[in-house]
This record gives sequence, C-alpha cells and structure tokens, in this order.
Amino acid sequence: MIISILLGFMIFSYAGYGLYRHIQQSKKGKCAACSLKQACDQKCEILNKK
Amino acid sequence: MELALLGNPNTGKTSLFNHLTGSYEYVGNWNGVTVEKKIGTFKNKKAILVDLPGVYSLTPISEEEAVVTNYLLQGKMNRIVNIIDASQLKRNLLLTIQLLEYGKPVIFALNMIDVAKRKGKVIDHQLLATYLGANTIAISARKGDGCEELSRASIGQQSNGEHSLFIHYGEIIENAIEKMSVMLQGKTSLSSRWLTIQLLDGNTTIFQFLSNVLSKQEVETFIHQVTLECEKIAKKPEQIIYLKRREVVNQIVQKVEVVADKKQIPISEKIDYLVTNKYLGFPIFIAFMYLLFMLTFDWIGTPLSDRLDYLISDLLTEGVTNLLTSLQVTSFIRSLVIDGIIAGVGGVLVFIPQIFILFFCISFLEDSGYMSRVALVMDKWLENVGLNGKAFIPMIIGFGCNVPGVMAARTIETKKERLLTILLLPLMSCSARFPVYALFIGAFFGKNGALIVLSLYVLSIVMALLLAKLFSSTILKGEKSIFLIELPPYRLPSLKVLWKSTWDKGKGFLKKAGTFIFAGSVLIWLLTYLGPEGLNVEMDQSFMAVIGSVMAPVLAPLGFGTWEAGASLLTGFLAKEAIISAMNIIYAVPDTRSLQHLMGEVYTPLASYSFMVFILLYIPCLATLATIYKETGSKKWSAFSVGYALILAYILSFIIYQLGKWIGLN
Repeated sequence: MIISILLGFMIFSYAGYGLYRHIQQSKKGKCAACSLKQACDQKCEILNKK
Repeated sequence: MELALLGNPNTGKTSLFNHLTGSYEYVGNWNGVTVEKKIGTFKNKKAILVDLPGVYSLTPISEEEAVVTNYLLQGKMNRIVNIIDASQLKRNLLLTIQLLEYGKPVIFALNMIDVAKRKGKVIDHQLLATYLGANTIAISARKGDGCEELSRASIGQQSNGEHSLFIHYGEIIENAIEKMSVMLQGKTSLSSRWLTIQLLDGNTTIFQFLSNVLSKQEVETFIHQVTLECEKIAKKPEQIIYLKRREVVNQIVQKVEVVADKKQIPISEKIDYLVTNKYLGFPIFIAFMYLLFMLTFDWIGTPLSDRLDYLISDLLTEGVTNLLTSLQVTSFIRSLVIDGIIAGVGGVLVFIPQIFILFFCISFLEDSGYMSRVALVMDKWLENVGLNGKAFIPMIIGFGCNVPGVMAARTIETKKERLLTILLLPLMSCSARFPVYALFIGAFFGKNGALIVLSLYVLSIVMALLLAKLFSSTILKGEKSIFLIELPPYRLPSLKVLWKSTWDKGKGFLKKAGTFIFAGSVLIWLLTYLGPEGLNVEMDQSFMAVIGSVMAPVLAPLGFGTWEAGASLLTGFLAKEAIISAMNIIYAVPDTRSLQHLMGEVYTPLASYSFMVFILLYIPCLATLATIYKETGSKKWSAFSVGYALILAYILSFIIYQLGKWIGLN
C-alpha cells in the first residue's frame, strides 16, 4: 500500500507539474514554445530586437 | 583583437566561423542563416571573431543588412576577414571593394574553389592578392582546408592596408570626397572616403550617421550639390559609383579567372533547368514529397514502428505488469501505469521512427539546396494569390513545427504579406499531426499510405493558396514585395550535419513525450477512470465520455460523430500528439496494432480520411496560437486564425464525407 501511495504521489505530482509547465510555456509563445529552441542559432532575443 | 567576418550570403561564412572558433553553429544551405551577428573566440584565444549576416552590398535593403553597416560604423574591429565565393567572383568583389574602402586591414578567404572548378573556372589567387593588395588565402570552409593558415594570417602581422586596391571614381566624386573630408575633420575617426562613397551610393544608415555628426541639412545640401554635378553628365552619383566598380571588377576578373570551357553548362544549372522549370518544377516537388512519404511509411518507417510497437506493448508492458504485481500495488496504480501512461506515451513513441525519417528527409532537402528551388517554383503560384516565394520558406519550416514557422515569417518585408503568412501557417501539416496519419494509414490504406499522406500535404498547400487569394483580395489588401532568392550550389549533405539537424528537430518531440504527453496521458486516464457516478466507472460513463458527447452530434455529419473522436480532438488543442494518446487510452487497447484493428471497426476508410483532413486543418495548437498572438500583437487576428481554421476544417470534412458517401465510397 505504501508503494502504491508513493508511486501515485510521484506520478500525479510529475504529471501536474508537466501539465502546468507545458501550458505556461505554450502560453508564452515564440521561442519558449518552440521545439527547435535548443538548436536555433537565431535565438529568441535576437529576433526580439527586430 | 577583434576581427569581423564578412561576405556575400551563402559563401560559407558560418562554416568558416565554426572552423576558426571551434564552435558549432547551425550551418544551412539557405540565404540568411546568420540573421544577427555572432561572436566567437579564435581557437588560440588570441582574438575574437564576429560573424555578420551575409550581404551583397553595404547599402542596406533589409534590416539584417543594416546590421553590417551599423557594426562598421562602431569601428571597433581591428581587421576584416572577407570570405569570397570563387565561383561568383564578379558579384563578391563588389562588396570587397566597399570593405577595402573602409580602410581597415582586410584579409581575403577565397572559398569554393572546387565549385568554381566544376563550373570550369580556375582562379589565380596569388594574382588576385596582388590586385587587391592584401593577403588572399584559398580555403575550403566545409572541409577546413586552409583554415589554419587563414587563422595564423588573420592574427599575425599584417600591412595596414595602404597598398590595397584604390578606385578613382572620377572628378565629381573625388572632389566630393575631398569636400566631405574637410567637413568631417576631427569629427569622426572613420574613413571619410568610405563614408562619402557610401553616402552617395544611397546608404541610408550612413545618411543617418552623418546627419548626427554634421547636420541633416548639411548632408542633404551636400548630396544635392553632388547630384546636380552628376546630372551634368546625365548620371546619378550611385550610377557613377556602380559603373566604376563594375569596370574595375571586370578588369580584375578577366585577369585572374581562366574559364576552361565556356560552352560547358555546369551540372548545377542543368539540374536547375529541370527542377525550376515552369511546367516540371511543381510535379518534381510532388514526386520528391511522394518519395519522402514512401520512405516514411512504406519502406523504412512503418517496419521500424512495428518493431517498436512490439517492444513497447509486449516486452515493456509485460515487464512493468510483472514488476507492479511483485510490488503488490493497487489496481488503481496498475491501471494508471499500464492503461494510462504506457498506452498514452507508448502510443506516441511508436511513431518516432516515422517522425525521424521525415525530419531526416526534410533536412536532406534543405541542406542539399533543393528547398530554395522549391521556393522559386512556388513563387509564381504565390504571387497570383497575393504572396511571394519568400512565404513558402516559413511554410516549409512549418512542416516540422508551426511555431518556428510563424516566427520565420519575420523575414517577410511587408506587413500584409507577413500577417497573411502567419495566419495561413497553421494549415501546414506539422510533424505532431503525423502520428494520427500513421495510425489511420496503417488501419485503412496499407500500400497506398504514402499517396494518402501526400494528398493531405497537397490539400494543405492548396487550401493555403486559395485562402491567401481570398484574404488578400478582401480583408488583407496592401502592398506587395519582390522576391529575391539566391540559389545556393547543390551539395551532398554530410551525414554529421544531417544527423545533427534531424536530432535537433526530433529531440523536441521526444522530450515532449516524456513531459507533456506523460502528463496529458495521466489526466486523460483520470478523466476516463472517474465519472459522475464515482470511481472506476465504465468508459462510456466517464467524464471523458460526458465531455466528448457534447461534441459528438456536431461531428456526426463529418463521419465521426462519436464521443471518443470528440474527446480526442479536444486534447489536440494542447498538443496534436495528444490525440493519439487519448485514443489509445479511450479505446483501452494494449498496442497500436490492436488500436488500428479497432479503428477498422469504428471508422470507415472515408470517415477516417475525413477525420485526418479535420485534424490537418481544425485548429492551431496552444503554442502556435500563443506565438501568433505574440507576433501579430492582436487578439482579433489570433481569434481569426482559430475561427477560420475551424470553419474550413468543418466544411471540407463535410464535403469529403458527404460527397464520398454520395458517390458510394462509404
């Protein structure tokens, strides 16, 4: 039972955090929401200047 | 010591930058990969190198070109490294002259000698060095040949540039230079010769600079006087400057370039003749796309996906079930892990091979130089609908993910065309929609899968064109811009670059599976586990069913009026991949094969096609919507992008399903 509670707690906490983070990041739009942000050499701050 | 790296677009500047500094920046076979300046340190740490955007001239047309003039005006750098494309010597030297006039020591990196050789041109780089009056080193920026020598020469002792090429522009311009030198005395450390020539050449950034140093009126009077002088010989100042430069460049090129066989047409031009042909260009593009989908669905992707499906559904599920049993966890947790997480995340992960192959092929087409040709082919079509070829580049990027596509629309000059491109971008089928196609293709279309997916991509492009025409002639009238694109040389992309590009695009997808899809799967499972009646209810009695049922009647005329379809479509707003997770969980199947089998009972092939079309068009995901809002700064246009997409998807799916039914396809 303890393992079940522990697992449930971990899964729901991680899922809650993941959901919250995804929505926050998506809402920010632009680079924060971009799947290429790690690889993009144009970088958000540079684009923001334009 | 600071060095600036300058040259025409697509001459290999970023590759050279990487070799000299040891950094690894993205190298593209597109124009304008370097949008703003980048700074790196030489490998021996003795100097820093500033990589600037590629420009044809210092007279700015777009904002990225103004970056270069603004940087030169700061005058911080000690030397300039000018990279020259040996295969395009005439055009490259026009910029070189302007850099020499700047007055700081310049060192020349002569790149792409091999490309020039293939075009039948042999360049005597020693003679070129003599004419330019500066050190000229032959390099291969891609392979790194000559970069060591260039690095040593760049940092080592060098002349101060006083013996470099000097152009006498004729009496009028030379007198003007002298006059300006007197006016500027003690007011700036920059070369007054360079400033005057740039000013008379129409460089607006220099005009602003000089207006600050002197006064706007003084500068305008100066230009006016010189223009009047020039009119006496029926020319404008910029014409005199250009003609003189061209004359000098022609003389130099004549001496240093030996053309082996003028009649021989380079292979690159032969290919271009075919792929950019008025009639053949578009069919060739479609053929490439078809090949791409055949690779993805038929030849490589699906067999790999099937194996992955077996690994996840059989081995992983079995292993985890055994582990959970041995840990004696409750049935709630067991169901959460097996029916929620593994079904939801695994359902998306099995399509990873297809996604990676798609990205690999797109990277290949981009890096080989072909995509620039596609933009050129599409230019004619786009021009007819109020856009131009430039808009197609963000759209191609949108095939990977709509968010960077929307951002790439910034390169479009006019406001109207930019807005139009942004609004139409969500119609481009991003890779997150791919798993949905893969699922239905596997269930219904088998060997014709590639053709079906191709039809969806073509449909998205056709719809974008039709709507562009509609919007540009009704709500978005405005000025047009011209489309200029340099066709980069064809090259066989190196595996290393291809892999990096594919991995960069694909890892976002993997990461999302581990974070959001995981979280979404837990939420979806919870909504199927809970219901108004309590815990562990029947699927049809769950909250998910309640939510989906609201949508079902509306979707019925489209051929998929079930609560399951309605509920999974709702999750797609957060991320399109979530649709697949939701279906896996809702239909409670152990693996993708079973889900495909079940789909065969729930949907008809016609309904499944209608469903795919609906998913292709129905709504931008939250991230794309937020990016549209940030980029347009308008709630009205953001809402419009959702509204028109929903209406379009509904009408099109309705027509496809009802028409198909009518002609007996159901």
